[in-house]
Amino acid sequence: MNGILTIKNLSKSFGKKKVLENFSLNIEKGKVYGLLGINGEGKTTLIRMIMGVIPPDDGEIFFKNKKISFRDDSYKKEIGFIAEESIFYSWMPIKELLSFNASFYPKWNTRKANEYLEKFSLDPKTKIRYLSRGMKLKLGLIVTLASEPEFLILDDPTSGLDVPTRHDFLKEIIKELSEAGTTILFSTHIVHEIEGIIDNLGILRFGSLILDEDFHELKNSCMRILLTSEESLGDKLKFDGIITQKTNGNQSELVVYPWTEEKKQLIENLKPTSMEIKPLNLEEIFISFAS
Amino acid sequence: MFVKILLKEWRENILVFSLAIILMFALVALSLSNLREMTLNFSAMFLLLFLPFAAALIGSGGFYSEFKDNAWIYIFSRPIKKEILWIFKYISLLSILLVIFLLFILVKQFLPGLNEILSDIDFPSEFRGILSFSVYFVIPLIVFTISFSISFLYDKQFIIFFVSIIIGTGLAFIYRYYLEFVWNTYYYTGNFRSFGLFIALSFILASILTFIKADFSQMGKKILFFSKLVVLFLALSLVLGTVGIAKGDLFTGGREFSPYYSSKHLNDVYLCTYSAGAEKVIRYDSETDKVEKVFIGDIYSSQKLSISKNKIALFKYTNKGRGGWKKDLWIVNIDGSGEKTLTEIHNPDSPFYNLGIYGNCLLSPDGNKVIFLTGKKGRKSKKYKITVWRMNTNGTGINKKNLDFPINYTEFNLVAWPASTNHLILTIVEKSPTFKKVADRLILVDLEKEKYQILFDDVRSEFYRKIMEVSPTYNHLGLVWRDHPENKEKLVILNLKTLDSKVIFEAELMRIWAMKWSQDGEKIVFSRARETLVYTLADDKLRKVSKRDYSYEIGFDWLADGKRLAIIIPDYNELFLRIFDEEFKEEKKIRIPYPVERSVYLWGLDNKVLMYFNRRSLFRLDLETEKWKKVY
Repeated sequence: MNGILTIKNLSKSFGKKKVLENFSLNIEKGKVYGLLGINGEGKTTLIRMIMGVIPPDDGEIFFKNKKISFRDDSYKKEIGFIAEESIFYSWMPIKELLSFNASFYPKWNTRKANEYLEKFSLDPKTKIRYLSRGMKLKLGLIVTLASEPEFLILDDPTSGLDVPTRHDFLKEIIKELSEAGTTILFSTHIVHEIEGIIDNLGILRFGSLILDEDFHELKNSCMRILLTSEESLGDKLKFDGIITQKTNGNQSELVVYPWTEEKKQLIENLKPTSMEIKPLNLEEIFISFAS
Repeated sequence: MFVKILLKEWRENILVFSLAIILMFALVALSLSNLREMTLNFSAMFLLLFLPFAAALIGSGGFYSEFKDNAWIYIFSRPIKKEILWIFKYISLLSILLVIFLLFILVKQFLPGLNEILSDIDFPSEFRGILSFSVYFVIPLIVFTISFSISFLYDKQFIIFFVSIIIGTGLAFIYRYYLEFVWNTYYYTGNFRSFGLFIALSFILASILTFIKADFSQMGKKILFFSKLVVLFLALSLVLGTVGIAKGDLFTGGREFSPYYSSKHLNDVYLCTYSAGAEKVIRYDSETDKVEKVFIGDIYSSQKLSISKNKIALFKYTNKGRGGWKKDLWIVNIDGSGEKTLTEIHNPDSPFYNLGIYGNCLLSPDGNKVIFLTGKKGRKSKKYKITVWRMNTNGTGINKKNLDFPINYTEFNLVAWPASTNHLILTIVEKSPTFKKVADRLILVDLEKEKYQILFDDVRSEFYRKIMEVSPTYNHLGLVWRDHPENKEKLVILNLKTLDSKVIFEAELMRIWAMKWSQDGEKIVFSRARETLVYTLADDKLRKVSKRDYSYEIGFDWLADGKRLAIIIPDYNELFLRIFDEEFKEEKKIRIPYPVERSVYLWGLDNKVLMYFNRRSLFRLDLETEKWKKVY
């Protein structure tokens, strides 16, 4: 275990529905980990278990190599958490929420909180219930960043945000944080927004990780192969690493991971009339794996 | 962190708190307005119900804001232990309730008339015997704890509010019938508080354990988890409470007993006590130097024993079927033998069937006859119809006389019945139409003519203080009369044969602690403010026996010879028992090695003194050897 956060065989059910089953994950210090999954796959449940909001049915969570239990609280001082929805007391004015929140964190940085308030043009007297979704996200960021966390968890924070706000959030704040060495777990179902930010990618499907890779390696070795041949190659294309395969007459389309010289040789042996190799963007990778 | 949580909870409950203030102000305004007379009863009833409802309202909203804004995710993801969060929230909300309690006390204390009404409210029989303190504060605290403990189980506050009231009331009734089943008794304040504490603790423990272990997002699982725990803890509480109360060890560090009435007869001392789950009469036998049980049963509300010759008369509560709890008259020999009831209130064939017995009973000086009162309010006639019953202590010779009193007369207590005459002396509290106490009247009843007259228009009648005492010879009555025109309190000796009275001492404020007659009925000693004085009938002289540096309630009594006096006198930080001879010169000075509870709990016997110490023990001091012995 050399990660800042390690999860082993985590399981959680709601009634008869199994949301997570033997889920394992390892996030290394200083990395930005993108966790992709379609809605309802258990991303929020996973994050709530990490944050000690709900208890797991089974499995273990380690933070900085120390096992944490549902009752533990001290590790939370080092983790910032931005939720998908607003989770603040709506009757509180911003100033009061910041003051309330500060009482939980010994390293609370009031100066930073005030700087961000100014930067985001938030009036400290405004009650939270009167804030827009974007403003609530900004407030969530202030609450999180002023506690100076080592590890930041973002649970689908940008869903429903307008483009400029999302841009500010992603390009400025997250980049700034990751460059400062903060480890980030970014969970989302909006795929393209984490491209260019993440170091590692995990794809959650049916309660477990179906992909957990270094994103740069993944991008370099996950390829779409477009083949044209005189006769259909559908039945002949059989080797490990084919993620998806579509055959239409004498045309075939494969997504292969990892793409290697050996696999290229295998296909060339089938003598296709043409072979086009294209790298995939993140959205394409996600769709390929998720489907 | 605690301060921030405290402030947050106060902010969230500011509406409830403001409402409480507005309602209290409304009550004050009503009380000061022309509507006062009309609304006083309503105000009193409202005040009585207000606290439990306010408690349930505040408690049930414990996690309302966490549910409402999904803020439970926020607060659970902060670095604070869940049990600490639970406790901080509980204390914060409790502080709001306590401030409301304080407001309640202020309003109750300073609103003219309300206090009297509240102390006069006749609680349903299920709650009889619980002191008003418990009704006003212990029940709301339990309801608050229950409602707070379940407030995180479900997001609908009004459901939690009603459920907590139902659970609280249900548990009170289960507890009431359980006590009756186990001890054939009903509520006692001590038991009630003990069980109340156990119930509250059961909910607190079950709630905290559920809070730190169960999944907040899964309501069904959460409720099931909590229910299992709370049932387990409540069952455990029942067992612990039963065993603890039966052993008398709860919260006292030992067998606590508290004598609430005592009477010295011959050379023995009789104590009405509550200990180890039951009320009883015990007797210290001076000859054997031992304490024996004389009578066991629900005697609390009758409070006073009457002892004469070889008989004791007292009232005991029994509950049989539909009639509910009723007082019966019991006679028992002073050694505890031959106990029998003379009234059989629950027996349809009894002449006393279903009658409501009042106050206390009195034996005649020869111990052969007993007198007591029953009564009911005439709805149409607006009269208080009182029947005075006289009968032999073997149950024969029943004689009854009827008297009509004004409807606003209450709390009839028999004071003296010199059986050679047909006169009965009793105290009655007269109340205004709004139930405000007007005065304690001392009444003389002529049983032959079935008429009564007021002897003294306002007397002090707190029987437990022993400031209205009949001499052992039944010839005189010592009492404190409030002389309103002169604005003085006067210590009066009333001759029970001639009804002549003599003022032997007067002061603007008597500050009397107690008075005690010598065995021969010739001398009376009383302690007031900083001095102890003795009045002698024979020479009509008042003498000062001792002085103290500060006002202090002390114990004192005549020894059995009727000549020597035993007085506890503090000296710096120590207590001393001083014995004075016939000429009131100090004969002995013995240091008391224990804390003394109350002045009345010292009894002078034949060369011995019996004292009550430290809420749990009776000690006998031998004046010859100066040795102490624990006798109970």
